[in-house]
Amino acid sequence: MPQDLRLKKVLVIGSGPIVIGQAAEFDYAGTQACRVLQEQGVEVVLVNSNPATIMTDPEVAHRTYLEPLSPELIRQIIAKERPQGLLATLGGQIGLNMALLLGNDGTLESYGVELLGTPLEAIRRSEDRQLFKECMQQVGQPVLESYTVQTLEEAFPLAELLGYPLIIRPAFTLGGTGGGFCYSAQELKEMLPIGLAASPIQQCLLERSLQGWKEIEYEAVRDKNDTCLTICSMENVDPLGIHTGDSIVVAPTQTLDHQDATMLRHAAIAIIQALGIEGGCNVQFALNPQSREYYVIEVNPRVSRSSALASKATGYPIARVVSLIALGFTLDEITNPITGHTTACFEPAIDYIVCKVPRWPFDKFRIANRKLSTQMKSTGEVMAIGRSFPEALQKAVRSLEQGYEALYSQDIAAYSTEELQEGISEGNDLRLFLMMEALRRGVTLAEIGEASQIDPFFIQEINRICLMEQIIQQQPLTRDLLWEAKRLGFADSEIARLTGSSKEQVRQTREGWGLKRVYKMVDTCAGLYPSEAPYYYSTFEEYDELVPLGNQTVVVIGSGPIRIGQGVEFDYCSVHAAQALQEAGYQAVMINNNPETVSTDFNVSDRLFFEPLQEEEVLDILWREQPVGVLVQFGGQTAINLASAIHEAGFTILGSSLDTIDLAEDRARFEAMLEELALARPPARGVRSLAEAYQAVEVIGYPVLVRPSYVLGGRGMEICRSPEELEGFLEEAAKITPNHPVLIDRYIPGKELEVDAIADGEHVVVVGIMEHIERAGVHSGDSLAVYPWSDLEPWLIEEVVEATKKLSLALQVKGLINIQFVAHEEKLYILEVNPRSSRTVPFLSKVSGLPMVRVATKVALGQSLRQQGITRDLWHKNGFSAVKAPVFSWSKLRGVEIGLGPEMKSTGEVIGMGISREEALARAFWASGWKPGKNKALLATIANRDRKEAIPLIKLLWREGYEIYATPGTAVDLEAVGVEVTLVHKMNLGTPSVLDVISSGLVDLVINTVSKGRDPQRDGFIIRRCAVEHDVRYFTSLDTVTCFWRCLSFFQSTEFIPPISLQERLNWI
Amino acid sequence: MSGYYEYICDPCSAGLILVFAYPLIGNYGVAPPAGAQGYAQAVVVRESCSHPSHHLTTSSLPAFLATQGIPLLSEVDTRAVTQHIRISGEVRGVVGAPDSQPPVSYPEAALPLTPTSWEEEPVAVKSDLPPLAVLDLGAAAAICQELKRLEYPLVVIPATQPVASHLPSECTALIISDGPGDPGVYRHLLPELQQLTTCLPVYAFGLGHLLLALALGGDCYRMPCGHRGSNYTVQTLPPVTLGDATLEPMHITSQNHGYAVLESSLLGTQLEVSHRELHDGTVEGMWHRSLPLWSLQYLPDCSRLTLDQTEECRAFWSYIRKVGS
Repeated sequence: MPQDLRLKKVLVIGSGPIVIGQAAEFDYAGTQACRVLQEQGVEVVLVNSNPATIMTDPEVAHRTYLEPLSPELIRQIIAKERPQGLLATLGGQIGLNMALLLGNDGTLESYGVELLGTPLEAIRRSEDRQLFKECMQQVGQPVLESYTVQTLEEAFPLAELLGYPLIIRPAFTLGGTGGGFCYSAQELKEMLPIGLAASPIQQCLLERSLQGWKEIEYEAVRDKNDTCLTICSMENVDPLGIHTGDSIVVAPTQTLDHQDATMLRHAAIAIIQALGIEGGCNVQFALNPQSREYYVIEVNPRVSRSSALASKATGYPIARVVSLIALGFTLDEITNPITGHTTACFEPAIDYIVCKVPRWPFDKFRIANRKLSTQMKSTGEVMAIGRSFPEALQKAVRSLEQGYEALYSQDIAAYSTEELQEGISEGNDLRLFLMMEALRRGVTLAEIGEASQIDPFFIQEINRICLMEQIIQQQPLTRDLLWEAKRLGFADSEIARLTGSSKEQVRQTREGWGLKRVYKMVDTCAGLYPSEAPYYYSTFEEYDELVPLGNQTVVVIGSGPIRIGQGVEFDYCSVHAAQALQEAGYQAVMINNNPETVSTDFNVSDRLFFEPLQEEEVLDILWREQPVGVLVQFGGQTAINLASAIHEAGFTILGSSLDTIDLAEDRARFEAMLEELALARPPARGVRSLAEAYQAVEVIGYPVLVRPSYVLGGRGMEICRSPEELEGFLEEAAKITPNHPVLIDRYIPGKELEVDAIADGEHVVVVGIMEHIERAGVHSGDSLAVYPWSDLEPWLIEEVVEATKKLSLALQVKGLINIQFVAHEEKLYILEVNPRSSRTVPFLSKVSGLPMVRVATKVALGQSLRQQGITRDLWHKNGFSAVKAPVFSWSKLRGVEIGLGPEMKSTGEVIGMGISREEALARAFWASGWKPGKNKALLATIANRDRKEAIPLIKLLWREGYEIYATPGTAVDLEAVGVEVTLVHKMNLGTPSVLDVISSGLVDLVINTVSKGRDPQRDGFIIRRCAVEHDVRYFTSLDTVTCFWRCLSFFQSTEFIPPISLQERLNWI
Repeated sequence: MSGYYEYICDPCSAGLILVFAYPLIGNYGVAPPAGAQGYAQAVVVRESCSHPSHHLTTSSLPAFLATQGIPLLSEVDTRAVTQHIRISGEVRGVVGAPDSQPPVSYPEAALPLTPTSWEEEPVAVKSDLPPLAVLDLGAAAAICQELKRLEYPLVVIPATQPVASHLPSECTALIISDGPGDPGVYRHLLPELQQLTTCLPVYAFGLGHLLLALALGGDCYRMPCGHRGSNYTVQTLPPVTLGDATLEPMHITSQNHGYAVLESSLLGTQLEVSHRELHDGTVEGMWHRSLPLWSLQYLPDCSRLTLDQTEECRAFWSYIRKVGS
C-alpha cells in the first residue's frame, strides 16, 4: 500500500472567487483533488469562499468551510479540525500563498500538519525570485538578468544597467497584476509604485525584455521517486510580451524542431528536479526564434490554468495524478483513467492539434485599453480540437460566442489598412481578425510577420484560410472544394456567406455529397492503445470512431467560455444536470468547449464532446446520438440560444419548452401575459428614434432605464436622469444594435428581490427569496444578495411567492425559473423573468440545502415535485444568514470605470455566512478582500445629489472611530453636522490632494459616489481608479456603506467568531 | 509530434513505410547535413507542410523527400491507419496510385545496411588506451558520436565480414550497434559473438541487444506492434545500480524496433532482464549474471541524438571507463 496511512484527514485550500487570472480551472483541479482523497478513504476538509463551484458542494468534502481565505481563519479551522495533511497546490496562487503564510508563522508545525506533495522549501524556491534564480543557476538553467527592487530609488540605476525596454513583475501576484512593459525612466516612475503596491511583499522584479521571442510552456510532473514526465508542450502563437493567459495557444508546439523540443523538455525536467517539486508544475520558456538560446521565465509549482488546458488537450488528468502523488503514490502506481489499463507513468502523445483562444471582457468595458501586455485581461477561454491548425482555430473562434462564424467581422472590414497595421503591431484582442483582414487586402505575410512578430508558420496557416475564402468566392463549389474547406474548419454558415446561399442549403449540398463530420477520440496515446475514454471531437476525415450510446441518452448543452454575466455558475448547473441524469438512469452526454471547467472533465458525463456550441456542431451530435431529449436550461444564455434550432430539428427539449423561452424573451408576448395575470412591471416603451424616445419619456417620466432588446448580463443598459444623458446614451446604444428597438423603462429605485424557483407545470417551490442590498439600478450580479428573507414583511413574501407561482404556471415552466422583482411604495413590480438556471442557483442550493439542479432535472425528466417529496410552496429558511458578494477584477483592467450600474461588471463572487445578517455581511466583505482590524481613516467625496443621504452615514462611521478626510463640498456638509474633517483638495488644486491621501496610504477606505460615469477625465473616475490601483477599498453605493457600518463591530477585533462548516450549518451532522 | 526528420533518417526505419500519427508534419522543415540519407521506404501523413518555419531550415520536408526519392503520401487519415496497424499487427503496405494493383509479394529491405555517416569523419585516435570495437549493424553513427567523447580510439567493424578479422589484439570492449530489421539475418555472426562475450566486455543497443540474446541462447520474436515513437516508459528492475551509479526507476524512451527478446527464452541462460517496458512488458534491457555485458533495446534518450543525457547512459559510459582503466 503506497499511500501514507497516517493521513486520515486532509485540509484542501480552494482558490476563492473568480477574478481575471484565477478562474474555473481551480474548481476543476480542486474537485478532482477532493474526489481523489475521498476515493482513498481520506476525510476532506475544504476551505473556499466561492459558492459557485462544484468543489464547495456539501457532498464533495466531509467539511466544507465557505470562509474567507485568510490565514487567521484557516488557522482556526486547523485548530478545530486537526487535519494531518494540507493540500495547497490545487488552489491557485491563493492556496500557495496561504500555505507559505501558515508554514512561515509555524502554524503547520505547531498543529503537526504536514504539507502534502510539493514541500514548503520547493514552493519558496519557485516563488521567491532570488532563491529561484540561484536554484536555476546551480543547475545551469539560464534565467534572465534581473534585479529585485523594493523602492523607486534603487530601481533607477538598475534599470539603466538592464536597458529599456524592461519588464516590471511584481512578486507573488496572479495573472501578472501590476506588471507591464516599461520603455523609459518616466514610465518606470509611474509604473513601479503600482507594481510594488500589487505585490503582497512590496517587491518587484525588473528584467530585460524579450519581446518577440517564442513563449513555450511545458507541464511537468514528478513523484517522490524522482520520476519526471512532461505531459504537454504548448506554444503561444502570440510571442513573448503578451501574457500566456491572453495569448492564442496551441498544443503541442508547432515551430520547434526536434532538438529545440528535446532541449526544453530536458530543461523542464531538470527544473522540476532542482526545485524538488512533488506534484506538478508549469515551466515557461522564452526561446530565441533565431537561435537555440532560451531563458526560463517562470515556474508555477502548482496546477494552473495551463495545466487545466494541458489536461483537456491531452486527456491526462494532471490534478488527479498530482493529488495521488501528494498522498504518496508514484506515477507507475497510478492508473491512466483514459485507457483504463495503462499507468500514469507515460508522456501523452496526441494526434490532433489543440487551439486555445481567450475570451476578453471588452464588450462590457468599451473604454478599457484593449492592448494586451504582461497583465492578463481575459476572463475565460475556449479550446478547440482539430486535425489541422486552420480547423482548430476556426472552431475555437466560433466557440467564443461573440457572433463570429469565421475570422471575419463586419466592423473590422470597415477599418482602414493603416488601422489594421497599427492594431497588428500593437497587439490587441482583435489581432487575429485584423491579420486576416490585412491578408484579404493583400498585405504581405512578411509585413504582418514583422508587425506582429508572430512566427511565419502561423501567419501562413492563417493565410490558408484566406486563400480558401477567395477560392470559395471565385470558383463553383465542388465536392472536393467543399471537403477541403470543411477540413480547414469553415462553417456551413461561413460558406453560405461566401457563396451567397444559406447554411441550410450548404448543409444539404454537403450531406448530399456524403461529406459528414466524423468523431475521433481523445485517448492520450494517439491510437497506440485501445482506450475507454468517453471524450470526442469532430473533424472531417475518412473514418468515424463514434458508437452512439443508444437508448436513454440525454444531451446537456454547456455554457461555453467564462465571461462577465455568464460565469462558472452555469458550469456548476451543467455538471449537476449530468449527475442527476445518471442518478435517474440516463446516460449523460455533455457538449462544451471551456477547457477550464468541471463539465469538460470527461469523468463527469458518460460522454463528452469538446465542440463549439453552434447549431451546426450541436445538431450533428444530436443526429448521431439520437438522444431522448436535450437539456438547455442549465447552460445559460448559450444553451437557450440553441433551443429553437434543436427544437426545429425535431429533438425534444426536456423541461420548459421553446415556447416558454420565447414567451419570456419576447417583450410583447410577455407584457400581454403579465397583464392577464394582473402583475405589474415598470412602465416601458420600445423606441426606434430619439424623437420617439422623448415622447416615451414624457409618459414614463425620468429617471429611466434604457436598454437594447435581447440582452445578457445587462450589456448596454444605462440609467438616464435627464434628456442630455438620454441623448448621449442613445447615440451609443443605437450603434450597438442598429436594427433593434431600444427599450425605455421607468427606473424604480426600490428594494430589489430575486427568486429562484422550481416548477413542474402544476406546482411550484420557491427555494428562496434573496434581497439585494444595493437599490435597483445596480445589476443583480453586482449586488450583495442576502439570504434568507427574514426582514421582509409578510405581505411582500406572500406576494412574491404568489407572483412566482402565477408566472411559472402561466409560462408552463418545467424546471428552474429566476425572477427579479422590485418593491417600491408597497407595490411589487416584476423586472425580469428567466425560465432557466441563474447565477444564484449554486449559492441558493448550498444555503437552502436543496440540490436545485437535480430536482429541476428530474422534473424535466417527468418526475413531479410531489413525487420528489417536495410539497411546500416556499422552501424552509435555514437558521443562519448568508450573503453573496460580488468580486471585481478592476486592477487587471486599467482605465475602466468602477462605479456600479445596470451593466454587470463583476467577474466572480464570494459567500459570507453567519448567525446574524451582520456577521454574514462581515464575512462576505472579508472574503471579498477586506482586511479586518486595519481600518481607521476614510476619504469621502460625495456627489451633490447623494449628500443628504451620505452625511449622516459618514457621521456614524466617524463615531465608530474613523478619521474623516473629505473634499471641500463634502467637508462643509460634514462639518455642519459636527464631524471633524481633514480637508483635502480636489485634484490639481493644492496639497494634500485626494490622490495624495489615497496613494500615500493615509486612508484605507474611499467613499465616492458616481455623479456621471464613463468620462475618464472626471475627478470621480480618477479617484476611484486611484483607489483600485493602490489597493485601497472603496464604496460607490451608499447602500453598501450602510451595510458596512452595520457589520463594523465584527471588524473591530481580529478575534472572529469561529468558522462553522456548511454541513454543520445545514444540521447535516 | 516533432522528430519526423530523425525517424525518416534513422537507419532503423529502413524498409518501413512511416505513418505519422500526428497530423501536421514538416512544420519546421528539415536541415539535413551534407550527405544525409533518408531510410524510410515511404512517408504517410495527414498534412505535410510546404511553408516551414525555423531558423535552421534549409528545405521543406516534401522537397527533401523528393531529393531522397522517398514517396510522400498526404491527406491520409493517419489515425485510422494507426488504429488499423494496432489491431492487425505490423502490416505490409504499398504506396501506389489509386488504381494500381497490390503486389504479389513484399520485398524485404536489403540488409545489412552500409554505414555512411561516420566514415566521412575519420575517427580520432589520440589516446594510447586500448580501442573500443564497434560492430556496425547499420546505425553506428549516433553511437560513434558519443564514443568519440570518451577519448577511446574506435575501430568500426562492418557486419558483413567476420568480426575477429577486424578486432584489434587489445581491446577495451565490444559495442554492438543498433540497426534495422530482423536479427535472424545476422545468424552467421552468432557463434563468434558468443565466443567474444567470454573474453571481452560487450555492450549492445537495439538490434545488437537482440543479437546478444540470440548469441547467448535466448530467442527473439517479431512484435505484433513494434515500438516506434518517443514515449515508451521503461522500468528499471532491481538492483537499480550499476557500478557507482543508481539508475532512475522509470524513464521515458524513444524507440524504433519491431523485434524483441522473448523473456521466457532467457530462463536457461545466464542473462537477466534489467529493463522492461512498463505497459506491455517488453524486455528492454539485459545483463549477465557473471560476465560484464549489458544491453538495451533502445538508445537511452528521447532525442536519439545525445546519449549522455540520462542517468543510465552516464552509468554506462562511466562503467566503460572503469573497465577500460
